[in-house]
Amino acid sequence: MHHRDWNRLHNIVVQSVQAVLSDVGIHVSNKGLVTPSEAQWAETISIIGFGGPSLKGSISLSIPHALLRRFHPTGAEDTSLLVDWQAELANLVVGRLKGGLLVYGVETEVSTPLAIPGTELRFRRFSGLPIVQHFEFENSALHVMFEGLSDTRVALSEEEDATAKIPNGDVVLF
Amino acid sequence: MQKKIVVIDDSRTARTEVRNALEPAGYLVLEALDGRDGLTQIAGNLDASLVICDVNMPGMNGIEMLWDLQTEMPDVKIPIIMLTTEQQPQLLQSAKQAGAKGWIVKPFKPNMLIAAVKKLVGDV
Repeated sequence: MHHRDWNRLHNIVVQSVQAVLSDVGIHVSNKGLVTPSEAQWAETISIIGFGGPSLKGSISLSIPHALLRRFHPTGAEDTSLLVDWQAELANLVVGRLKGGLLVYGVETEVSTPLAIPGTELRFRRFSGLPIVQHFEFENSALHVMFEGLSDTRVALSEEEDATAKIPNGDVVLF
Repeated sequence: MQKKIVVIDDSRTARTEVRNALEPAGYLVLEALDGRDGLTQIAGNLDASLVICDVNMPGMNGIEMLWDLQTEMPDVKIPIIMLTTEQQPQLLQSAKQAGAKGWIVKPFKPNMLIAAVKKLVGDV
């Protein structure tokens, strides 16, 4: 994939993260890139994979538990429920990413999310180039790692087809 | 009598959000963790008025559950609405072909979910 298209893809990731977190009241600002070892990984990290004929990869989402506890939609405080919600947020982010790619004609399938302790994140086995976006909300740091591998023929520069996806929040009854 | 709604989602948070939206509207919510568990819940609650089902789940996903329901319980006519992050029109068509009656893209707005539920269970 051309450098310009990678940038466009990373922008879709950033926009997806901001939209999903904004929906739950966490209005993050993007502070740019950091290396994986520079990131302040939270107590747990949710990871979700995606893949298709021309693009595959994963997204890892790191949100401090204090923030998850403060904004949990049902007021949960139990760690297992915070982790469950973090996984669901990763699912929502990759859902938006998938929708963002659809308008460029890039189709992917999504895995189910899993969560691991932040201390168990390892950086040795990447197949692609990991990009870590640094976000801030008030005084908290959030990080999102995106790793992708693409077919060289993939281009995100074709004209967008907004009708290629069902809009977020849409209700369709048959 | 309260109408029963079976909610199938692997995320406990997502199930609770749906429960919190529907219970104040007067519905009785039953939960299932994935497609397989959903089939069990449906088999045990044939008087349910509606099923709300995620698509992307481990084990058996929502579309597979729709097909299995048609095969294993062909007489069951409970309406099913999919609640998912998936925005791909082809998947929507697959769900429709497999018998789903609706498709909602997460995150949902409670008032829109309740309006769709009321329409499908005949409360409007």
